[in-house]
Amino acid sequence: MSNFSLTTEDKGDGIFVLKVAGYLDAHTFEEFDNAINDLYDADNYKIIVDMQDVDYISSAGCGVFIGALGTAMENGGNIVPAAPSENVREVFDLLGLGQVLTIVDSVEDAIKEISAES
Amino acid sequence: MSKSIQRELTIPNRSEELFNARKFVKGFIDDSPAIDKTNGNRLTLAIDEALANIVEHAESMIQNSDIEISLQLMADDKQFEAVIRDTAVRFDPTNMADVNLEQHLRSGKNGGLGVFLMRQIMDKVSYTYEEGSVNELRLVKFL
Repeated sequence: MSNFSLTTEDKGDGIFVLKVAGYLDAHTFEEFDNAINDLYDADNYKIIVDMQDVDYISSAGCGVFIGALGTAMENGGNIVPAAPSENVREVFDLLGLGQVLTIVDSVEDAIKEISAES
Repeated sequence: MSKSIQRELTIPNRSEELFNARKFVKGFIDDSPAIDKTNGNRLTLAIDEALANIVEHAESMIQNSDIEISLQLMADDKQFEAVIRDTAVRFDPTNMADVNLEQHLRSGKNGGLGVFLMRQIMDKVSYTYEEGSVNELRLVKFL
C-alpha cells in the first residue's frame, strides 16, 4: 500500500523541509520518525514539516512530533508543522498539540518563525 | 435502534490493514445519515486508534502473529456503536492513565495518545475480557 511519501529539502541556513504526503498513521509513522532522526544524526535541528498534502494523521503521527520536539529544542532548533489541512489540524487540537508546537499556515511562515528563533 | 444499519469487517493484525479498515468505516459513515462530516472524521480516527492499539500489542507477542480482529459497526439516528473483538494478548485500554503532554514532551515519550483520543471523541469506552480468549472493546457515540 503506497499511500505515503516523504521528501527532504535543504532550505539553507540549517533549515530543512520534510514534505509529507498521504496517510501518516500507525503503519507509516516510523518512516517519518526515521527521516527526522536522519536529520538529527547530521546535526540538523531546524525542521519544517510541510503537511499540505497529508490526508490523514493519527496519534502515531502526532506522537513523532512530541517524541522529537525535545531533542530539537535542546539543540537550539524546533519542529514546525506547516499548512496542515482542517482534518489534520483538528487532530492536533484534540490532542492539545498547539500548547507545545508552533503550527503555522505555510512553509514561508514556518521559515520566518524558525529563522526568528535563531 | 430504529432504522439501524450494521456491518462487519475482519482484518489480520497488520498495520497496513488500518487503511482498509478506515475505508470501511468511512463507507459505513457515508451511508449513515445521522452522522455528519465532523463526527464522521472523529469516529474514523477513534476506531483507527483502537485497531492500531490492538495491532501494536498483538505484534509484540509472537504467538499472536496470526490473529484476526473483527470490527462491527452499528448506527441509527440516536447513536453510533463500534464493537472490536480480538484474540490477541489481554489488553485493557480503559485502564491507561490520561496523557500529560508536558510530561510526554520532557520524556520524549509518545504512548497513550490513541487512548486519549478515543476518550476525547467517544461518549463511552468499555472493555471486557472473556477468560482465555477474547478482548472486546465497545465504543459508543451519542448522535
